[in-house]
Amino acid sequence: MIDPILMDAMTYSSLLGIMTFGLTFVRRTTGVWNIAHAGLVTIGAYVVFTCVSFLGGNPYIYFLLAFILSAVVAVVEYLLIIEPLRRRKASTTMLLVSTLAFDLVMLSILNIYADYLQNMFSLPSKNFLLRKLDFILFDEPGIFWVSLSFLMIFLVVLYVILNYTKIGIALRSCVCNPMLASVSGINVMHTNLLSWFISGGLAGVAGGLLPLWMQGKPVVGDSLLALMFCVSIVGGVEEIYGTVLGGFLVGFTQILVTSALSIVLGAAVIPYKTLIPMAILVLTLLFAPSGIAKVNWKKILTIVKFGGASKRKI
Amino acid sequence: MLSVNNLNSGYGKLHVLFGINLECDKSEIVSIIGPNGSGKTTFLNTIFGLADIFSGSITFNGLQLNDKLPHEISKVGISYLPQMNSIFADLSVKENLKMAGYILNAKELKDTVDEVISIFPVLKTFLSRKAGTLSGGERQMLAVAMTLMRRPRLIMLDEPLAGLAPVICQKLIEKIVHLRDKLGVGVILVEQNAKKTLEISDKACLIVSGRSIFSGKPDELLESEELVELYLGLKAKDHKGMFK
Repeated sequence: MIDPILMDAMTYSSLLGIMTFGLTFVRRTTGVWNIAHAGLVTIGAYVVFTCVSFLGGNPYIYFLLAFILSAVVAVVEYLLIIEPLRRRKASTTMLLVSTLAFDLVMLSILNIYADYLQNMFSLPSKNFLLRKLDFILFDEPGIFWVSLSFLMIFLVVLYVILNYTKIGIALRSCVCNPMLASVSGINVMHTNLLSWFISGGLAGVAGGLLPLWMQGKPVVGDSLLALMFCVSIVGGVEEIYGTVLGGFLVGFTQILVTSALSIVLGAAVIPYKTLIPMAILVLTLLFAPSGIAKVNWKKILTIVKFGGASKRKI
Repeated sequence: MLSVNNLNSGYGKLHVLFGINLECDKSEIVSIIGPNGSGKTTFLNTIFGLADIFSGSITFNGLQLNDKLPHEISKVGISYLPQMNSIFADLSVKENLKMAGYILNAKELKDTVDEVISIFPVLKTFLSRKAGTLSGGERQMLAVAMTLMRRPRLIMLDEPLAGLAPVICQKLIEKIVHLRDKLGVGVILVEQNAKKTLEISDKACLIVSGRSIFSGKPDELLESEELVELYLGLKAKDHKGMFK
């Protein structure tokens, strides 16, 4: 049996990574930081909760539906807000603020939906946990194995798509130089739509996983939004594997450091555990602004090996 | 091949071009010349669907292009080398060529990459390098190579010689002439360097403040002392009869 703290850290890191894949993917391929990604995660959680409540069965069988519904909402967000604003030459800041507005709208709708489920069907829709429905494999909960497997599968699939397929390279070219992409025959709007669809779908799957490990509520995605940004920036948006590195660095540090500090200083430190990822974020922005995936480790090792500091930027 | 009739265009409410006419046939180089800010780039942008058409028509081999989007226009056999940002800096050279040939199928793409590399053999040495790390000359070679990837019948080059060393300029000019003479491609060339451009052109169009004030043979343009000295910065006497 795996040590519970280690198991917790691995599950948490994997969930953070899966949640952040979509955020990083859409930033990498369309240049937009999508705050409403949090709401898309929550939609995934509620799709699984609703299906399990009314149809029964194992939560995992509803992940495809969570993928599709969150993906469709992401496409609606793109068509309603991002594309019209882009046509008006809106800045990236303006686009970011517009996604915040969309997230707030989604948050309101999700709250209304949760109230409806609670009042009409007496479901615990404002605080639910689906752990009891999870399977056990080798004495460990299914969420541990599934989250880890999904993380690796998504990483490989997204890496291959972005680097080795025509459509993946087209997605990257559209953010690099949209005018040249369209002149080259690429339908920029279609590629952007595909990006948002994939990103939304990944958020939905991540949301579906969450209630198997933590309490689901209308703000479950938003409560993790700062961490998602932290993982994306710490890992680096340039490389999709940066999200996994960031997820594990942030997740492990948060769980292990909080655990160690609570032994030394007492349980009073636990509410401040989110300060740890924020400290990592600040350090990353100061010393490796492009994220840890872009750090030139070879150069650092050379400096360490031969001593003395290099004046050149690492 | 390409026919532009009484074109009025611009960006949003900004009217830039007024009543421009132009014809470009296959195996023909047409130069668009004029001072800075005269509307040369807007002219090319308009043909490629990147500016708004207020009135007039653009047809290519009988096909009306007025309402077509840029990615649709690239499929009819026209390639465009924009003046700025003409490569994907974050992609490798090989990926740049692949994206330039996005509309081709896998077999055509492979063949065309080989063809283009045979025209620009220097590209072969840095296929896996990020395009953003190339020198100015190498970037421009790549950009021109990218315009050829779609096997175009007409290519539009916006200041392809800008900022290049004289040796590279000469090489590029030779490539442009090669495209016309050996591959039968029509070329619309926008250049600040009027002298170099007119030397290889079959037709010339002088645009000033969005209006075409001359359209015809390059030597006819050079016969007009006023136009040459006023707008091209050349001394008419020195260039009269240079094409005879």
